[in-house]
Amino acid sequence: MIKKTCFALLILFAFHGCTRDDICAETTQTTPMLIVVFKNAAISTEAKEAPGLTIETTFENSEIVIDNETTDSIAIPLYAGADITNYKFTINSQSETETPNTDMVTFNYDREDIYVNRACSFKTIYNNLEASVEDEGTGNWIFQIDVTALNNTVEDENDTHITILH
Amino acid sequence: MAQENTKTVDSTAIDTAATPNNKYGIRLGADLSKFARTAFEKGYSGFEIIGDFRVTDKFYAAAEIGNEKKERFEANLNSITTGSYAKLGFDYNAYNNWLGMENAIFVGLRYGFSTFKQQLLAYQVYTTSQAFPQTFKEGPVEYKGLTAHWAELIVGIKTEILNNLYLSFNLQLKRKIVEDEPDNFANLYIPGFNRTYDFSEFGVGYGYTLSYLIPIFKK
Repeated sequence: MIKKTCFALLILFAFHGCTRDDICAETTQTTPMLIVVFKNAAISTEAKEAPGLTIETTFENSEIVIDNETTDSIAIPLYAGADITNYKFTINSQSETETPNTDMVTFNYDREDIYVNRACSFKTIYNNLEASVEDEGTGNWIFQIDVTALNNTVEDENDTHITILH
Repeated sequence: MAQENTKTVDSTAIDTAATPNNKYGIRLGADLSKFARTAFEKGYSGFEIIGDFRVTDKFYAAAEIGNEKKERFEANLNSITTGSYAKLGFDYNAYNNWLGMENAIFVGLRYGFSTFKQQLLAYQVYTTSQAFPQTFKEGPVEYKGLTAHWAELIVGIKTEILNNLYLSFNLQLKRKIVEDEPDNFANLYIPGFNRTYDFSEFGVGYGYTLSYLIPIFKK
């Protein structure tokens, strides 16, 4: 009888030990965000805030990733399901005195999936990054868009991947 | 007076208890828990054959061989591990049997070795942003010819339930020594070692075995 009880306890212990560690920690570096900084077109070393900046995707049900922020530095996601991501960059988006101005920005890249761990599965990094703005003649608020990422690769979120002069 | 009498009886009992069991032979069996898991656990199939040979009064040379297939179908990762393993080592019986009894409380050490393959069937790219639809990638990648080596500590109990037929339960603590890491993936499961942990070299396991002693001689 005692032996049977011992067996039952031991079995319980064995199953109890099999709990999962399946939560992807926030501190783990997974798929990186694209880091974009805004600089002054006249003095290209000087940071310049983009006033009332709103950024949204160009899908049918567009998602707003940056909502009416006045900032000189942003982090936005790239689409891991395709080699291209399109965004609408709008300044003065809710301004009462200035007219909103929207520029279409396109990012092209190659994707590489890298195994992270059991909980996070895989992340995607983006190689051969290219950026362009749809030319509207004098209508663009973006003067120039440059890829400043190390080796043109989006992997490290401490890096500056894109610099926009305006 | 009565106490002294009891003491005398006790010392006689100890003498009897110290009398070693004397059957020597080969014990062969199988792990019942692996049959049960094959029948009832989704995504698992496997078996293990066990054997030991009594070398001295307390020491038994022991070995296990087995084969396992383990599927991991999680929302973010689908993979299958298939392979075979062998474990070699010894058990030490720490239990003093009464005359004629053949039970054991044992500790053992094993060297474990596994050859296996891993198939990565599909995965989800982990993103912190919800702006875009989730990305799933399919297309199996197969990593063949992987090997792993580990050391294992076993503690268990063994009872003779019928003449020469033994039922045993054991717990296993394992530590990886070396493994082949697949390129851009990891060994989420190793046959014989069981599941791995991301931030630890240790693993755990258990066995519930039935074995039969083929007596060869008596000492």
